[in-house]
Amino acid sequence: MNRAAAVVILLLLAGATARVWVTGQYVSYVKAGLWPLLVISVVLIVLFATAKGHQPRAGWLLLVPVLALVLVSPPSLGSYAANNAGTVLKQADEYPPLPDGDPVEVKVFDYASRAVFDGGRTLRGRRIKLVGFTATGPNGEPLLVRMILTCCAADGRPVKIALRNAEPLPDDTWIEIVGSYVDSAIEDGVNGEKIPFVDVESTVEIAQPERPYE
Amino acid sequence: MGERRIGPVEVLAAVLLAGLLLRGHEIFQAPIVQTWAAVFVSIVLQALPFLTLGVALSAAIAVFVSRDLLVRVLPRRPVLAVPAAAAAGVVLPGCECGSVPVAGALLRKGIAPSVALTFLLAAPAVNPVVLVATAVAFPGQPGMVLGRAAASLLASTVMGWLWLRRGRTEWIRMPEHDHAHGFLSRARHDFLHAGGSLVLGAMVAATLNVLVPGRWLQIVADEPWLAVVAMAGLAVLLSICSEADAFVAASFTQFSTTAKLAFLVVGPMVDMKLFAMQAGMFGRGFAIRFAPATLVVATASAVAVGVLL
Repeated sequence: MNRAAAVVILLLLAGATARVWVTGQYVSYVKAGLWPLLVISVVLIVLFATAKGHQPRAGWLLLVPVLALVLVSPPSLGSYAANNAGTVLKQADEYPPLPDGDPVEVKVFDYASRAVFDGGRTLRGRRIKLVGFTATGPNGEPLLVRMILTCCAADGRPVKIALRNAEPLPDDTWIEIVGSYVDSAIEDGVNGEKIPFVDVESTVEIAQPERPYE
Repeated sequence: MGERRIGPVEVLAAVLLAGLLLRGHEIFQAPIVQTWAAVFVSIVLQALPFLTLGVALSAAIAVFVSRDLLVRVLPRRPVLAVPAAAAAGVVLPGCECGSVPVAGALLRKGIAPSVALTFLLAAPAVNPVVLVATAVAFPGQPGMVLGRAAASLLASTVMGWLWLRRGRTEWIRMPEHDHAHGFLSRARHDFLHAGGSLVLGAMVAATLNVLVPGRWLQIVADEPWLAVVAMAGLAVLLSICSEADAFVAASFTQFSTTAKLAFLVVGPMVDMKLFAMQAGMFGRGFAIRFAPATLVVATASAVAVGVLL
């Protein structure tokens, strides 16, 4: 690789990284809190581009992420990733009553945890609003899914909730539903964990939220 | 003279032109391609800050820190310097992508390979950021944090001692560095080198992430020994950053504590992207010997500590 090619590749990489930061697209891939570090990376890569010296050929590979962003511009993880991984459940130490509001917005993760580990005690008698995308469950039942991210999309894991009385929608449609707790669950064939139900009262199609992951 | 050759700039222009022409093609809309690209891009973006800061730090060590200083702070006897290097891993807050170039800089300074390699293995697993993340991922299970630190220190020290007895310096083939002297030149050289390897590893990891069905895991989770081997293997294949792997381990609820510990100890020491980066930094002959040995030692350490938990 000669110097000109190395400079162009480094600047393309810095540019692609800066672009996903400025457009906010980066939250589809990594945690929102990573942005200051991304900015530091961009500055350092531009600095590296100004240096002189030997250019290893391995540097060509840095074009691949640039091309992936330009060619595919992948959206956040959707039903394909959700179907391939088991639903995530985590027991909390305690389940305080839900905040006021009718309907009250509950995180998909929180709903599943309250439904499975607390028998839905704090969910009963409340109208609940959930936001997620659609997917198809183990036996063809419609699901509402939200991916949770710890660090980056490589560790993205789904939280699945089965929808009762929902109108059929194509997979990967972002929806906001209002519904109520029902005492029923199915098993996720991937990891044997429980997928709780929600009885749907109304469904609204929405644009993908600014933060696609919970 | 006068002959026109196709040089790197022409290739680059052709690649970019092809990229622009193919943009929006329907093959790139397929869910499997989009998921692959999302996972691939996310691994690269997540690692980029640690890689850029890691190469900056390693270039700073190479240019500004004298060998005498490093030799003075380490115990003189190699047998003692190895555990000291493992403990020194506590001070490098970052993931494994950053520690490869730093270990390279230590080697170039003339630090004994056993010491530099011990540091390479220990640093990504025992630093405070990673241990705090582990504590958050396993609430109410302090044994997991202690177990991870103990098993990682054990594995990296054993590997250092193993190198003292069996290792040969000629296995390590460092890339030529005579023409890069300034801070920025060194940093850029290391970045192009390690960055290329990172991309290669991320491509493999994303492919496996998309192709290995999660259902297979359930089947092996029920067999104790198979579960440990499977989680160690998964850590290698998934190549998740050490700052995040605890949360992934915690999500494998069907696996035993020992199997999860194996995932946490192996991941920061051996994985697809690390193998590619080590092969790039220290030569293929080194990586082919070092990575399998590390895998065995790390898995054994995790099992030894896991039995006590």
